[in-house]
Amino acid sequence: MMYDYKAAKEAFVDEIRVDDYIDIRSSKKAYNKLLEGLERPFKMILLYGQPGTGKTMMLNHIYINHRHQKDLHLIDTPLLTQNDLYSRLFHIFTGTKLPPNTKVNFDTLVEYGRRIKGKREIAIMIDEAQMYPQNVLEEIRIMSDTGSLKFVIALHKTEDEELIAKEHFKTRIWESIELKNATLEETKVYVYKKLLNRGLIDIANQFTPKHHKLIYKFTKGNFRDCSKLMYGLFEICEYYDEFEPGKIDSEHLPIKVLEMAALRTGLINA
Amino acid sequence: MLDIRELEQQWKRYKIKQYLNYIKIGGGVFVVLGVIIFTASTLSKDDKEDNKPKMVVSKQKVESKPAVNQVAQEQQKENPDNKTDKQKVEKSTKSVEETPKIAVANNRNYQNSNPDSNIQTDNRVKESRIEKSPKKESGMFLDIGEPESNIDNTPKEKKHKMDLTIITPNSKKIIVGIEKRFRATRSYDDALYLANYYYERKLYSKAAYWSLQANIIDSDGEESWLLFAKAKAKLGKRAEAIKVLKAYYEKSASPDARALMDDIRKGTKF
Repeated sequence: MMYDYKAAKEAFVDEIRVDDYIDIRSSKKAYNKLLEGLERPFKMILLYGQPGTGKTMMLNHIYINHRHQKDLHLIDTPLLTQNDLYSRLFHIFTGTKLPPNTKVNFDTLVEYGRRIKGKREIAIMIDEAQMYPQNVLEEIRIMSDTGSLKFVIALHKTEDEELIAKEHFKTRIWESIELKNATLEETKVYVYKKLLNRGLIDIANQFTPKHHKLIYKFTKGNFRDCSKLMYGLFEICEYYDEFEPGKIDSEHLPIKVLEMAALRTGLINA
Repeated sequence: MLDIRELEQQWKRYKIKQYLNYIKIGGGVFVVLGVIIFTASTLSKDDKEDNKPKMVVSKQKVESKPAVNQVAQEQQKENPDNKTDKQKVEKSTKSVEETPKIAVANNRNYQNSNPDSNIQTDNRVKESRIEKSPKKESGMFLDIGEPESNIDNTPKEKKHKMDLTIITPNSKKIIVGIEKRFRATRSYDDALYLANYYYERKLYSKAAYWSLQANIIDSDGEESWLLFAKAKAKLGKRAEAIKVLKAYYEKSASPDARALMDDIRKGTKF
C-alpha cells in the first residue's frame, strides 16, 4: 500500500475535534469579529449560517482557547425546557450542579444576575439556538437584560429561523456575524490543511485543480459536505488499494473515484 | 457497508446520463441554430419575392373584380389627360413599393364609403387607376382592385391553434375534489395524498394539517408521522418535530424515524 488512505479517511470524520480546526480566511474574519465582540459590553451576538459552515467548530475553538481567560461557557446541546435552562444557569452562576429533585425559581436567577452586575461578566455561547422553544428564548432575552450575562446565539440560517431570532431579540443584538460557504480556493485550502495536519502531504499532492473544481461543484463550499465527500473518497481508495490496486493510479486520484464518492454520499444522483 | 460493485454500476449510469445531457444540449443548440438559419433564409426569400412582378396574382384579381376594372377603364377612356398628368406626378413622387399600399388604402376608403354611390366610387377608382397605369410595367399596382381582407386570406393556409393546456392529476380542481371527498370518506390514503401534495409545493402548514388528519385515522401509518415531523421542521418548529419523532420511535423503533430525527437535529437536508 503506497498511501495511508485510512489515515486520510480519519482526517475527515464528521465530529467536532477542536485540534482539527482549520483557519480559512473568511472564517478567520468571523472568528476575530466574535472575539472582539466578547470584549465589548454587549447583550447578544448573533452567529448564523447554513448548516455545515463551521459555527459549532468555531464556538468550540473559541471556548477551548479562551475559557480560562474569560468567564466563558458553551451550551452545545439544545435546552428544550425552561427547567433545563434554569439548571444550566444555576451551574454557571454557582459552579455546582443543581441537586436532584430541586428546582430553582427563574426570578431568583434574574435577581442574582442583577446583583452580580459589575462583579462578573459572564458570556454564554449557545449553539443550535434554532431548536429552542419560544419561551426559553424569551427567558434568555430577559437574562441578557440583567447586564451580567451576554449571549452568543448560533443558529442555522434559514428563512424562518433567522428571522425568528432577529425578531425575538431585536434591539439586543449587538452584532450579526454570518458564516458562509467556502469559496473554491478556501475549499482547496481546507482539504489541503486537513491532510497536512496529519502529515499526509503525498496524498494532498494527488489533488489537481480539476479535483478541486469538482469537489467545489459537488459540495458548493460546504465544509460538512466536503468532509463527507473526502471521507467517502478515501474509503473507496482504501478498498481499491487493498483489493484492486490496478484501479488506483499512484500519481493522481482518479476522477472516477471522486464521482463515486459523490454518488455514495448523495451529493449527486445517478 | 461499502458495496463497490453497486457503486460502480451507479457511476456508469451517472456517466451515461451525463453524456446524454451533453448530447441533448448539443442537439438543442443545433436545432436553435437551424431555426435561426431557416428563418433568416425564409425572410430573405420573401424579400426577393416581393420585388418580383406579380403578373399571375394581378391577372386573377382583375378577373375577380371585373366591375371595378370596367368602371376604371371607362373612366380612363373619358379622361385620358388627367390620367396622364397624374401619372407624371405619381411617377416622380411615389416608389414602386409604396404604390400598392396607397392604392389599397384608397381602396379601403372606397370600401368604407357608400358602395352605392357611383360618383364616389368612380373618383376613387379613377385615382387608383391613375396610379396604376405608370406601374403597369412593373405590375405592382394590380393588387389595388382587391380589398385587403381578400389579399390576406386567399394565399395563406389556415392556422390551427393547438391547445397546450396540460392537465395533470394535481390540478387545483382535483385537489379540491379530494378534500371534499375526504370529509365523507375519511380515507387515510386521501389525507396522505393531500399532505404529500402540499409538502411538495412547500405549503408546510397544510401538509402538517393533512398528515395529522391521516394520523388520526391510522396512527400506525409511518408516513403520516414522518411527513408531519418534516412539515413541522420546515416551519421552523424543530423541537416539536423531534418530540413527535421521538414519541413515534419509542413506539416503533423505526430506523427512518431515527434517521430523520438525526437529520433535523444536525440541520442536514431532508
